[in-house]
Amino acid sequence: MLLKVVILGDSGVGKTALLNQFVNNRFSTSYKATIGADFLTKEAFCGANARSVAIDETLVTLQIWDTAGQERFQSLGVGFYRGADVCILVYDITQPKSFENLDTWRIEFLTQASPSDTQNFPFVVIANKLDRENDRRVATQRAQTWCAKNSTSILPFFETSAKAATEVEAAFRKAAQLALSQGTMQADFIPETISFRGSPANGDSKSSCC
Amino acid sequence: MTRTNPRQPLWQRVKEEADYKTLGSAHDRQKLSTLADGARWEHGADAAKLSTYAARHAAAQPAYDAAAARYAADDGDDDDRFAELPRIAKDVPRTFGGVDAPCAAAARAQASPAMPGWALRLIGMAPTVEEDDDGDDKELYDRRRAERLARLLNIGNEQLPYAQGMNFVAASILSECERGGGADEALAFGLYCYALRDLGCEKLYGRRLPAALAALDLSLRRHAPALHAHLSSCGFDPQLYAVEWLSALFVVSVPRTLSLAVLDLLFAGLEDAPIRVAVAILRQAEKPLLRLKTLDDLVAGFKPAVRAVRPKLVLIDVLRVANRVPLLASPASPKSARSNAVETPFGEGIVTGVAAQGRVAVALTWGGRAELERRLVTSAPPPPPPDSSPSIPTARWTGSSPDVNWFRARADFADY
Repeated sequence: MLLKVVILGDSGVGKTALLNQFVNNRFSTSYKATIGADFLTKEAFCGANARSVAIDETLVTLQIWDTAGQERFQSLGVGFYRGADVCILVYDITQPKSFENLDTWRIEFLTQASPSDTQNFPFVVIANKLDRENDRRVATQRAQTWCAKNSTSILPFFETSAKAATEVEAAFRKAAQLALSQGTMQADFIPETISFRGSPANGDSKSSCC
Repeated sequence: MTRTNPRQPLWQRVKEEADYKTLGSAHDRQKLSTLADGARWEHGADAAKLSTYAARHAAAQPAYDAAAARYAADDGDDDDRFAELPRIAKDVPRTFGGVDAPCAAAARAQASPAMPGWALRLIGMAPTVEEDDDGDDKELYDRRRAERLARLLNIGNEQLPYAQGMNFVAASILSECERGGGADEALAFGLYCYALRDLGCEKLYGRRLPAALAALDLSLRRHAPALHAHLSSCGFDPQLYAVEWLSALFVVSVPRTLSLAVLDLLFAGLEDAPIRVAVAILRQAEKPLLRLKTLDDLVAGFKPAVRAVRPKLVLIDVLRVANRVPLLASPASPKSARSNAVETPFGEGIVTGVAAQGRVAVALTWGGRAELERRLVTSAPPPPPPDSSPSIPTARWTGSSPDVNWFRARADFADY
C-alpha cells in the first residue's frame, strides 16, 4: 500500500534532513537546499489503526514529497499536493518566524490539496532541531496550544532532532498511521454493494426480446 | 586564447557527429565549432559587459564586507543594500554539497561503511570525527569558498533579486573559475550577471518561471509527442521535475560534466539552451520513462532514468530540438516601443484582441497564445477593438493564482 506524505515548512527548518534521517538513518551537514520538490520512498511497517483488532501489521510504502521552503516557491502548484494522504508541518525551535508561518503552510496545503474533509485531514506537527535546545525560542507549550486550536482533534506534535535521530521515526510512523486510518475511514463510506448494470454486450439492457 | 575549455574533447566529438549528420541549423553548428575549438565561457560573452560587472563587484565589495562583518558579529539588522543577507546566508552552506556531488542523494542511499573515506566524504557522509591530516586546510578552503559565494550573491542581489537556485548557478561558475588555483571572483561575478541578465536566465525564477515551464511543456509536445502524452496523462507535469532543472541550471540534477556543458552552450550563445537541454534529456530517457506506467512509478523511477542518460548523446540531441521562437532571448525591440506589449503570468506578450467574457487575447513572445482575465495582464493599454476575423484556437485561463494554476491552461496552448 502506497501513502503520499507531503512535508512543508520554512526554508532551512530541516525538512530534507528529517526525511534523510527517516529514510536512510543518516544525518549530514552538507545537504543541498531543495529546489522545487524531491521525492523519496520508504517501506515501513505500520501497525494497523487502533480501531481494528488483531489485524496483522500492514506493510505500507511511504512516498515522501520533500518541498522547497522558500517564499518565492511557496506556490508549488496543485500537482505537489494532489492525492496527499497526510501532511507534515515542520518548524525550527530556534526560529519563531518558522513557527508563526505554520498557519500559512497549513492553509496553503488545504487550499491546494482541497481534501474532501478539511476539518479532519491528518496533519503532524514537527518541532525540529531539539539538539539546539539552548537556542530555543519557541516554547513547547505555545506549539501545543497551536496544535489544539487548529483542528477538531488535537494535531499530533513531536519535538525531534534530525541530527540526533530523536523522535524522527515516531513522527513519521504517526503520520503513516494517521494516513492509513484516514484511508480506512473513507473506505467505510463506500456502499457495500454498487448496482451496476451489465455491459451493453450481454443484452441485459434490452427490455424486449422474442 | 591562453587556456582552453577543459571539455574541448567532448565538444569535438559532439561536433564531428553533428557535422556528419548535418544536425541543427548552420547557426547552431557554428556555435558548436567555437566550443570544439576550446572556447571558454568568457570568450563567448560580451567583454565590455563582463568588465562593467567586474567593476561593479569591486566597487561594492568594501560595503558588503563591512555589512557581512556586522551581520556575523551581532546577527542584527543591516543596511537595505544587503537586506537579503540572512536569507542568502541560510542557503550558502547548503550549496556546495549539491555542486560537488550532484547525485549525492542517490549515492547516499547506496552507500555502505565499506566504501572508502574519500567516496563517503564526496557524498557528504564522512564520519563526523575530525581528521587530523590537513583537516584545517580543507575547513579553511570551504570557509573561504562560502564567503566568496555569499559575497557574489549579495552584491548580485542589488540588480538580480536572489531566488533559490541562483546559489547553485553561482557556485558552479565560481568553482569553474577557481580551476587551476586562481580565484577569479570578479570574473565569476561577471559571468553570473551576464548569464542571468544578458542571456535571459533570470526568466527561470519566481513569477516568470511558469512561462519557462509552459514553454518546456510545449517544446516537449513538439519534439517528443508520445512521451509528452504519456507524462501528461500521468499528471507528471514539468512543474514536478523541471523547477530544479531550470532554476539551478541542472547543476544539482545531472552529472557535473553535463551541467558544465549546459553553461558552455549558454555562454556560446545557443538560444534557449536550458529548455533545449531539458527536452533532449527527456528524449534520451524516453524508453525507460515510457515503461513507467503510473504517476507513482514515475515518482520512484524518474530520477534514476534521467541520471542514466549519456551526456554526449544529450548534447547531440540538443541540436535537433530547436524552438522556432526562443523564449529566453531578449526581446528584439524595447518594450516601450510597442504600445500593446504586456506582462502576463506566462511571460511577455502582445495584446492581439479581446476574447469572450472580456478576456484579453495575448500572443506570447515565446510563441504560445493565451486568453487571460484582464487582472492577470499588467501594464495593459486598452486593447484594440474586437477583431472579427477568426483566430486560431487559444487557451482559456481558468485559474485564480497564476503561479499555481499555470498548467490548467498549458495543454490548450496553440502550438507555434
